[in-house]
Amino acid sequence: MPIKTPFFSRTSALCESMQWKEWAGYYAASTYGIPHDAEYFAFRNAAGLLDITPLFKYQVTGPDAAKYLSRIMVRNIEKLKIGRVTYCCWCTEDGKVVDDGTVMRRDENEFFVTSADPCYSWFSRFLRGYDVELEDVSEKISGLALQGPTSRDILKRVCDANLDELSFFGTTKTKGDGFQMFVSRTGYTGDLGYELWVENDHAITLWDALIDAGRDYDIRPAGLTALDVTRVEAGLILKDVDYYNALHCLIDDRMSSPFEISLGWTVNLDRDPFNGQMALRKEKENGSNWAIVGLDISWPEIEMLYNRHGLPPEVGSTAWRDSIPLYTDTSKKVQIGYATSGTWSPILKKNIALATIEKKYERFGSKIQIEMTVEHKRHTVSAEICKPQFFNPERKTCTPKNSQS
Amino acid sequence: MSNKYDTIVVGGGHNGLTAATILANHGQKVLLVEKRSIFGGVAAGEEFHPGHWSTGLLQDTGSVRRNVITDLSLEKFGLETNGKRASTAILGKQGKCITISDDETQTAQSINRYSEKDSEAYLTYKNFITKITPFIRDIMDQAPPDLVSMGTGDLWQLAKNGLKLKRLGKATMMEFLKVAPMSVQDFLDERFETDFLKAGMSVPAVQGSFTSPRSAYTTLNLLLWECLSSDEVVGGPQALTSALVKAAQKSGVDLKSDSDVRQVVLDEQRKVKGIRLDNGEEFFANKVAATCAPQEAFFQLLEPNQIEYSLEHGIEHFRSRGTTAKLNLALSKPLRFNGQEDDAMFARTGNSWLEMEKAFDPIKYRNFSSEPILETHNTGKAPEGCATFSILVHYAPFELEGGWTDTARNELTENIIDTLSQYSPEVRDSIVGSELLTPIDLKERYGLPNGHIFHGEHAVDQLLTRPIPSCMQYNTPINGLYLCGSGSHPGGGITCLPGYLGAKRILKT
Repeated sequence: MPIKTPFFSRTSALCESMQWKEWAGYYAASTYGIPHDAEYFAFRNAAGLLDITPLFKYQVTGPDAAKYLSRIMVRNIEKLKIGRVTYCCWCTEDGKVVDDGTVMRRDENEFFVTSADPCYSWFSRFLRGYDVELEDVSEKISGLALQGPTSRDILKRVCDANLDELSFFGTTKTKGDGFQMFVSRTGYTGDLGYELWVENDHAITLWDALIDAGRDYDIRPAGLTALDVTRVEAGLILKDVDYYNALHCLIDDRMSSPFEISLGWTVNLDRDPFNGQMALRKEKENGSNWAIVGLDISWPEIEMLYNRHGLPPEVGSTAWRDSIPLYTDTSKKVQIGYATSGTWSPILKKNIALATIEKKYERFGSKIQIEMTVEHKRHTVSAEICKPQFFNPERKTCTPKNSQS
Repeated sequence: MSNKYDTIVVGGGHNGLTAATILANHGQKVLLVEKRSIFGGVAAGEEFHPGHWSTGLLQDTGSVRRNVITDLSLEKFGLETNGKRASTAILGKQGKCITISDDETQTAQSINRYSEKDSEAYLTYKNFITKITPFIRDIMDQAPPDLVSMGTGDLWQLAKNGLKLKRLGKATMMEFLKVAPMSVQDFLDERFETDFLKAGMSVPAVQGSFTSPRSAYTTLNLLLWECLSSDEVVGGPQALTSALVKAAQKSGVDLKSDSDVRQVVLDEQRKVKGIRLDNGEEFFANKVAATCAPQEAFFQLLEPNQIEYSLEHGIEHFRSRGTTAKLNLALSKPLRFNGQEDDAMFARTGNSWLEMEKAFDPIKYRNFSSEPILETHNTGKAPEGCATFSILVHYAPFELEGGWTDTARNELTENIIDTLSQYSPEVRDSIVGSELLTPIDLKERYGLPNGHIFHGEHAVDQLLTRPIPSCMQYNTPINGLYLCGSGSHPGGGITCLPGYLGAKRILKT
């Protein structure tokens, strides 16, 4: 049975839909109301408050902490400045991705790592030879994501952090009335937003403070269903949906390198040895097999297709995550990949998807065919290949202090 | 003097010296660095009491291979073999003694005093050993087939080995296949009846490893020892070392003692670039032959991020649990244990399965034996009228409960002397000096991981793919780093083969 996060007394009282998901062993609200639209629009137009306690959290401390993490991560963590966060992934020695997450440098020798999968066992493999302490703080620290255009204003009212200066992917320690926390300007919605890390004892105090302060800013508790729509719009990949943890793959074909899942930009190859370096160097030289791309699926063609069956066009109101075949053309002779997740984007008014395709077909602007089943019959509609990022508002990265000057 | 070499050999033991000389003889410019001020490693004789010398940590030189001696022309450098296996006295309590010599008939006669049946059994046993010896020597003398990549050559080698096994004849082959996995206790029980003979015979099967006569596959270790054992080097391990050093010098190897290697230096592609000493001095070569233990090569000489996890995991689980201590005794007069004959340089105790098992039990609980199993070596290096005994002691743990304090050391020394006194009551009063080397001291002095005298246990899995599958061909996943010590095929003991075969492997690249 899943267990309850420290916010459960609040989230359960608000969860009118009674729809829960199991997330890493915890109850996590899918939606609070039915349908989830209001939560989605809170993320995009006001502020959504999401319980992200189920994420796995690790604290890495000690004189060799940066060196140690640099050995594990594809990114050179030694270069990460104090008060900065980085998003990256970590690989097996064959250069296949195990998981992705954020690494925060809270102090010279103090780091905080989040991951989707439990990674203690993996991280602890590499402790030999480093003066470092690795602690799994997953059950000690609670997390909240406050995401949306009004999130900064709400947060300003509950803590003393200088949020006008906290830039995108910055982090700082701060306190409010009855709680202390770390705030990082990160999130999974691709919007202005923050993630708040607080000790379990202070979790409820923080929740109440946010809800209270957020009333004037249309704060709303939001569930995973709404989050899923926003993350596809933002083009943020999801483990076990858009790629698989290499350690859980029964076959090599299922494993992916960072280059193959649009995380090539997080890889710092030319530096001291790290997990997967040799394999990734080779791949960089010889080229990758796959690429994650965005798909803009043709709405007129969907309309026509439904029309042929005498139906009005239908789109699901939530994001989907089935594997959908992609072809070069309508003959469906050559499959070039598969879409892994997609959604109707209410804000963009587009039917979008994230897809894995053979590297040689990764040409932005080119048209391919995606399978679509209407009235139990399989058809295809065309889709345009684009960068896997559909929504990227200026406010996401904008810092008031800087934009004023 | 330039600091650029073709190969740098780390460690100046018998394997390091062998490897360096082979490489130099094939035209390579070779540097050999040794941490200590003397060469020879576990085969280095040392004066532990004025005038009294051990001839090395290990005592038995009967397994140095003929082809190594010939290839290195060691006889030109003063190496002499006495043309036969050294005699060993098998000791039992109440003055019992059987001498196992190179002469089977003589040995059978010696056994006959205790059991007629066993004297016949011994001849049958030796007959079996003689039959399988060419097969065993053949396997030990060649680099192992690569079981990981399994190329055509490797398959061919495996097939050839299979054929050689078949050529032993059906009966011998079946007997070998049947007995190899057995415990040495079961194996000897099937053949012999005299308790102290069986116990004494089994000692080479359990020597150095975390096994007792009841452990599986110990028979294989007995057979390996029996088959490899032949001519003894006159003067013991130290004499071998002297010849090896001379051979190395003659071949132009740069020998550098008192040089502790801090690091094997790799380039950005993780290829070997050279070594850096503790004093900061650097030497360059794109090949490094490490004859230290695999654990030391990977964990001490490389940065943690330079080795991949699978390699680290494999090496970390290469089992090396030291179980042997050494006691060097300086005696004021020559001694005889029981009826030990004059020319029996070695003596072994054991007495009975029960007593051996009792000696083994404490180590499971991190304690040493109260009545340990002893292998004594009369080194012959003592002042006129005196004697020196160098003794391998089984079993003593690396991590002793409560630590190796002075009290613990004294207690173990007393246990050994008490045990010895049962075979020669005069021992205690003749002692003028002694030196005890616990597994901790062995690690400190020789760099042996956990004090393991063979670098890693001779368990069957660790013999088949030694030390681990990805390193079983002397090369390693680190480009340019080779393992040519006892942690590689065919394993520990003074054979010079890991160094010899490792060097041959390097020459092929």
